[in-house]
Amino acid sequence: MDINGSDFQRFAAAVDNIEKEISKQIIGQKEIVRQVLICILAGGNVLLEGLPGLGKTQLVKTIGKVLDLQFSRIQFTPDLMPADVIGTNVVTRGGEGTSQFRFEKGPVFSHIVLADEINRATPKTQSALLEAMQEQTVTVGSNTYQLPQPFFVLATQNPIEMEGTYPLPEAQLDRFLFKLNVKFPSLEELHDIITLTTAQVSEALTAVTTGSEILKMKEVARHVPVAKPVMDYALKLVMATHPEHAEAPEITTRYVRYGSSPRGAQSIISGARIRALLAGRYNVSFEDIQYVAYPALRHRVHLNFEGISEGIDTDTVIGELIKGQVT
Amino acid sequence: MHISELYRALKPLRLRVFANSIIDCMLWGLCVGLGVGLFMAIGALLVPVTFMVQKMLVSFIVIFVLSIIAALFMLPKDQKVLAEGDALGLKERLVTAFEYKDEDNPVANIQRFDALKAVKALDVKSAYPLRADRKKIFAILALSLVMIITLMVPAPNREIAKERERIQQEIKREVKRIEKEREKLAANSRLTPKVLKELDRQLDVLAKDLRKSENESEALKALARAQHRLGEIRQKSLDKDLARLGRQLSEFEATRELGKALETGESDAIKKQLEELEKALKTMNHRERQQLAEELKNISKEIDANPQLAAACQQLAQGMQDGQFSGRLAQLNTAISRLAQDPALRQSLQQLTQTLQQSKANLSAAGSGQTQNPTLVSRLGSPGQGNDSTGQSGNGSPDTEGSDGEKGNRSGAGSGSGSGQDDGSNGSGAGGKGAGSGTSHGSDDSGNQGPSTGGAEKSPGRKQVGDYEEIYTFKRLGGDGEISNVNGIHNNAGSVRQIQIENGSVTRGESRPYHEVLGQYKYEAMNSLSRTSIPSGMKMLVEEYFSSLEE
Repeated sequence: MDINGSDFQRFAAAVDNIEKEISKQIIGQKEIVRQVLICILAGGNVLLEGLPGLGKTQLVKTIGKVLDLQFSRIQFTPDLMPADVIGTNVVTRGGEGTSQFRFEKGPVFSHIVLADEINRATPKTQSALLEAMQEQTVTVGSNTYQLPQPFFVLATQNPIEMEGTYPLPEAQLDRFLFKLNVKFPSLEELHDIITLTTAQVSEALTAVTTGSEILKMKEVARHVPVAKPVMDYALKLVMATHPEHAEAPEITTRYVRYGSSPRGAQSIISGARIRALLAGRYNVSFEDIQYVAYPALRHRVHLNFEGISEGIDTDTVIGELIKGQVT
Repeated sequence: MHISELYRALKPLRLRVFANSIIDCMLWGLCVGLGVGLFMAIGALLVPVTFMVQKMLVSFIVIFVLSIIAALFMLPKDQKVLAEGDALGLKERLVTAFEYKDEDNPVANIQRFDALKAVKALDVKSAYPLRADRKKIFAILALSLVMIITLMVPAPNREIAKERERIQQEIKREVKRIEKEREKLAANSRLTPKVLKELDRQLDVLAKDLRKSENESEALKALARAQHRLGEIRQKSLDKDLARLGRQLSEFEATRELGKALETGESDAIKKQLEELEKALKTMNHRERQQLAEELKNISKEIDANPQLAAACQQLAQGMQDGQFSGRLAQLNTAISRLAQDPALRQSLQQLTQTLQQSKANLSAAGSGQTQNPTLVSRLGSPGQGNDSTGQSGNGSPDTEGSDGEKGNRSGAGSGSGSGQDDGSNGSGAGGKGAGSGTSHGSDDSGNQGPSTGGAEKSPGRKQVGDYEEIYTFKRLGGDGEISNVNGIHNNAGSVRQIQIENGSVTRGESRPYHEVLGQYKYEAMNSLSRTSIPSGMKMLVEEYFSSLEE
């Protein structure tokens, strides 16, 4: 894929168009929209966490439409089986009267997969997404199937109503590039939401980009240079999340049980590259690192009992780590 | 786009960074300089520090200048300039551009261009103003304030230091004076090169010793050593010329003792032996005198190298034959005196001795915190050695280092009295005997105290002296009394009356450390020396005694 200077210059404009189109349906939540787009352009999966009714599912659906990508939604329930997600082999009758197995693709064979309330499914079903999320392939029996590109999993989960849920295991969480906390909208945003959804006819969405363009943008973003001090800063930040690290700050040693995996550093650098381009820059800055550190690390840093009991959240820990790291 | 364009665009920022680095270094220099100054100021409260303000200023200026020089050599590195630029809102554009400067791909090029555009859009003057670190400024102000307060705190050590400063300044002046003497000496064509060289060397040593002296006592010691060495030079010059004559006279029975005295070069002994010879001649019969006269004539023929002395011997021989020998003996004495010492050397030595005496008096005055007493100085500096009219007065100096003492038995001449036994600091000399008419008032406690005067009392100086044992100070009944000075004419006539008082009438005093009374004792002694007619040798002895005590 040939990349030239104009690709970089068009990047920000393209994303701006996407955001504008999304804003027709999604009121407020600009940061969430931007972070979701960063995640998609970085080729990662997003875990959206928030209370019911905040528009998580709507957001994902809107993105699917705007990006002109094939979209499928899976409502995760406790009785959902892996085959319901990835598909299964079914016996079919051939033209000559013979029977044969044919793979019936599941909803995961889509560009954008909305895994709604992912924590309501059993771990077995949740794990069905592991390969799809990381390898972007599905293996059934002895056959491995390539998922369509681009492929993203956008999962949602509810932080309350924990009864009957199955918290995602660490390995599963680590597959998500970002974890985004969807906040309750402000009064003004709420007013607009109510007006838009109850009084007016919602404006029709148009696709402003295509899958191939998304792939091109992904490739462009991978070429954004990262200076060594900036890279070192990101890596030190990740290292600081490990309580067993010799130079770990006090907050880590006191409240953190497990630190981030190397995927955390990958997520930070990938996300920071996109953010730099969105800001009209062609290099990653410390500020980009700090911006993406929160969504990239908050689900990878696991607090210990003391942290949980004292009401510390991972964002607090990450904030302290950012303050403590010299740029 | 080439990276050099970016270098050029960064030049104003680089200069600003450099200027701020200089300012920062200067502030550091001020902080450190003031810190050192404060340290010295606090130190001056605990120990005497001479020329403290000058030292503080010098150290402050040196550190400040060094900091500026260091700043000039500390050109900002690229990394520093890039980091400063990025911190001004360029968001790591510069550091990235320089890291990827060798890459030639679309993104590297566009990134460099972006960085250049951002640098050019940057208003360096407003974004990166020349600034001084507030913390350092506050530190400088605090240090200055504390230092001023410290300097204002009254401290006894500061007074001691001031006194030492006075002494050191006096030492410097004396060194200059001695250097002038050296110049004068070098211009003296009457002295032989050897003597000139020796005297110059001694003065050079003295000047060096004085420069090295850190306090009054060391300077006085150096002066005393120089005086001693001058005395040795004088003694050597005597020994060399008189030894020849002495050997010749020692071969004859009647003049054996005189010959020995000449060989030893002791002027007192020579004079005494000449007197003895005169007495002996009076008791000799005519034949014996004739015989001695013949022998003297023969001797005079052998000493043609000293025509004056030979002539004096001839005349004495003739006088013996004629029975008129008293005057001839005096002529011989004069001839011996002239032979004994080269006039030029004598004059030079006398002048040098005067200079050294004056230096000692100046130093003593500076050390005791008194203004210089011109009378005392003039008295101390007055020629008292080699007084031809009265013969050689005692001018030996006791060795302040205790190596070898003078042999003493000097006789003073003049009116007044002078009793007193010098029990000597280290030497074995006996006190001089005063001769003349008149009496003096004074009491002596167990014979060791000199006459005390009722002069003004001087407070003890604050010199740093060693720990002396306590001394018992007494008070005389009825006060110190009045001093009566008796005028008289210096001559050898008259008798000496010494009164030794075993137990003076004193009241009970108190035991005080010697250094507390030393200044007063010295002052009294010096005043007494200036008032009383005392042989100059004895004056030196007294002075050196006090100098040695102050070590």
